[in-house]
Amino acid sequence: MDYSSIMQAFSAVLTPSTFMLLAIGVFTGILAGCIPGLTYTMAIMLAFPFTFGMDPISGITLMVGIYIGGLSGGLIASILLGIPGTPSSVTTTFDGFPMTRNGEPGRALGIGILSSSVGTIVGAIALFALGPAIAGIALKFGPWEIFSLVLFALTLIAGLSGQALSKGLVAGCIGLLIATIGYDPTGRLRFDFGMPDLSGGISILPVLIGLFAISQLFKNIEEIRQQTLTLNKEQVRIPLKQVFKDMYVERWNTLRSSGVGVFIGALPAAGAETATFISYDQAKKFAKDKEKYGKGHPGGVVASETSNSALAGGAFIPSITLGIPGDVAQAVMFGVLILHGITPGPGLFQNQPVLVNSIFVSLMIGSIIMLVLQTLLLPILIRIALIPNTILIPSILVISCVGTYALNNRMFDVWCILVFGLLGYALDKMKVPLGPVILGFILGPKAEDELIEALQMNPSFAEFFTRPISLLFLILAAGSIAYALYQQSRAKKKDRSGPEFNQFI
Amino acid sequence: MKTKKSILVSVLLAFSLIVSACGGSSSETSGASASNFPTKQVKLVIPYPPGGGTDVLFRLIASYAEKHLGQTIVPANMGGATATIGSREVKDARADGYTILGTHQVIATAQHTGIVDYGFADFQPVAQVTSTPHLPLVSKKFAEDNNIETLNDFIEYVRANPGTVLWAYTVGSEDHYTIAALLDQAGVDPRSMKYVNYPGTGPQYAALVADQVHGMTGDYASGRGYIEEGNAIALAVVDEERNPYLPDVPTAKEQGIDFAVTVDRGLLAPKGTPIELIEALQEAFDKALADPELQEKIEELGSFARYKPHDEYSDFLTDLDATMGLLADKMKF
Repeated sequence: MDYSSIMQAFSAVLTPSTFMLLAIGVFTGILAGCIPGLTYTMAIMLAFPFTFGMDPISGITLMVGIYIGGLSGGLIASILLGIPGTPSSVTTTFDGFPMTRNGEPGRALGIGILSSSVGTIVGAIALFALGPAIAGIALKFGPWEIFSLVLFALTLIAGLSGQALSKGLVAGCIGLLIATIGYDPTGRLRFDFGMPDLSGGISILPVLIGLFAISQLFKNIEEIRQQTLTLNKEQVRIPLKQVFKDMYVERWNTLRSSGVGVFIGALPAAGAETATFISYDQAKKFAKDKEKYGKGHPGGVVASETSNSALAGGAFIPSITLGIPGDVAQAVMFGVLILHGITPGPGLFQNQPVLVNSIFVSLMIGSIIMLVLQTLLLPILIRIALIPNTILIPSILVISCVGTYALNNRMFDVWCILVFGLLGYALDKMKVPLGPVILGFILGPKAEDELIEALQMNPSFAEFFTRPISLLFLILAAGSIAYALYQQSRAKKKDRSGPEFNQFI
Repeated sequence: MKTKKSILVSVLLAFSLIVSACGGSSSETSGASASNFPTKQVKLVIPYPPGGGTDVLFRLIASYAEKHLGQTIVPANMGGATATIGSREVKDARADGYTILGTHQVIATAQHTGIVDYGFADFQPVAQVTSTPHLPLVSKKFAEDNNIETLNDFIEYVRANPGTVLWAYTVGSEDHYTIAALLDQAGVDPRSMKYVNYPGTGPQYAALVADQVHGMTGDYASGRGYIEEGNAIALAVVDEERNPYLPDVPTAKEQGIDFAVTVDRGLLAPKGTPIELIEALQEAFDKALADPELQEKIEELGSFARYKPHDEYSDFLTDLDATMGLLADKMKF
């Protein structure tokens, strides 16, 4: 191992100007992440032109800062408002928001922030120590394996449906259906109803904001008469002891969720959201007190936030070792390098050891900055939960609309959030869970892309069963369905008084 | 109940305000006269999501051109549906010179593969800005197993083993046309390979490196790392001249295949945009591309600054459209 290049990377990142850039990046990322409608991808795009005049290490450091800040920042709105700040923090709302309602916003935020930092560090270490090995495994994931993995992730709908399995399935199918709008992977147009705007399909952001933010705002209007949360001084502070205790109790959950985040992050096609849903589901399955999940269990926040932050380290693995950026954010970050004449690719590690190590170093230092910044900001942030709805609702609405418009620069997306807001509100009234809708919507197109690639390579379905990794995921998928059915029949026997439903999922 | 209602009203009011605020900016344009054009910022629609080759190139060029234009050029990404969301937006925009599109052959490939029913003829060309030569690439393993070193070796292999080669492409995109035209020119039916559709070039490289496909159509900027490492073998440069950065790779013409269509990026305005406005825009891009500093930056991105004024660009597009039309049936894989 080449320690001199690691030391050089440390000294490069710790020069005052680069360190400041990293801190600014983390702060910008946190802001972008915590505002529903703005994402770290957008923040990275906005910062892109600023890197033209910087040296490559400063440029990439700024980007890394925004990236990890943004991955973590989503937790703030998720926990305090029940509105996911970013698509990868949907699962944080499941337990984070109930904790706020139970009068424990400080504890939930503390756990979330600490989990994010731990996740980022685990991700960075995995990138550094296991990068090439994980990349080798990730390359073995062809379309067959990814399709089966996504199929397995889709079966998690069952786990997200609480006791109302059939409603969960309906919700999942609604998500899948919405995702079929627009051109299919072979260039045929589906369900556009003659509207050119629909030909590109519906982007994730309008669906997410509509379903979660707008419908939540409608619900808040109903409850406007109820006094907004009042917190005493004790609840506003982070109960440090409690948070560390929670993290200790959830240590295996932390490790498992980080692992899931790193690995899924390293698969170029699988996506951040898949990781958080799988981690959440695993945490719930392994927990002794499953029934508390969805009602404010610290483990839910831990699973979601460690996995979406560990993802950062994972996502760099294919970019650095193979030169294949897995998502838009990674593509832009590597655009910074290309503009400086550095080609991402398998040779990057040998040719630019200091640069590669500076990514690792800035992930580590960035995660500490993130911890400090968010802890310092907490007393201010937590007051968001105390803002009266009369002010809060219109403000969030405006920000969400502007963010959604900025996504594709067209009004169509803004109308979409209204439509999906009404849909989300109606589904909620019918006690149909919203989690499965978003899961179906995100995973449907991935499954279809991979299925078509696989069948274009070999028109036989047999290959899905003959490839060992693919078969493994198919078995897991079958097991996941069987488990859900078993759980449901047992719950029915236990409680004949009708299914209990949890409104936050 | 009263507060509830007033909130509802305020929310709806807020929503309608935002809607009108966002919508207003595009509709308030007045008929500008040519003499003082442009009097406000010009919107450059990029029909791809941020971060791709097209996006980076146009953002870079726009940042130089706006100095000569005297007004800011605001890049707006409108990705999706084989770049037709963005192109349709510009096609239907007001022909006042304040909305232009940065694009390439995808306009014609999308039309000829049946994705949309409009093409280059429905736009007013402004100028061509860059050319990017395509590089047909095959994986190291495939090349070694079958002794493939040149484009001709590869074409003979396809001819001898129809239906066995797996080629990565993106349906309706510019690489779709290049590989089809290349094989057609060499006398091989483009449909004698098996094509695997990917959502973009990134996933294509992943599949190539992992040996899930045998080949793909890349370019120098995105493929440099793989070519230098030997994981991908460049069969030819699809251009009139060799690429100075890849002096050892011969052109397709040198290998006896008379085909040299590059990916030519240029600017289009809505049909009916007054010619004085087109010339004002064209001049700004002409001056920008004459700057050696910009030329160098474009080359670092694997492309070449090749400026064509609107009339030349227009003729060029008409010809391209005609040749592509002839090949349309064979492109339906």
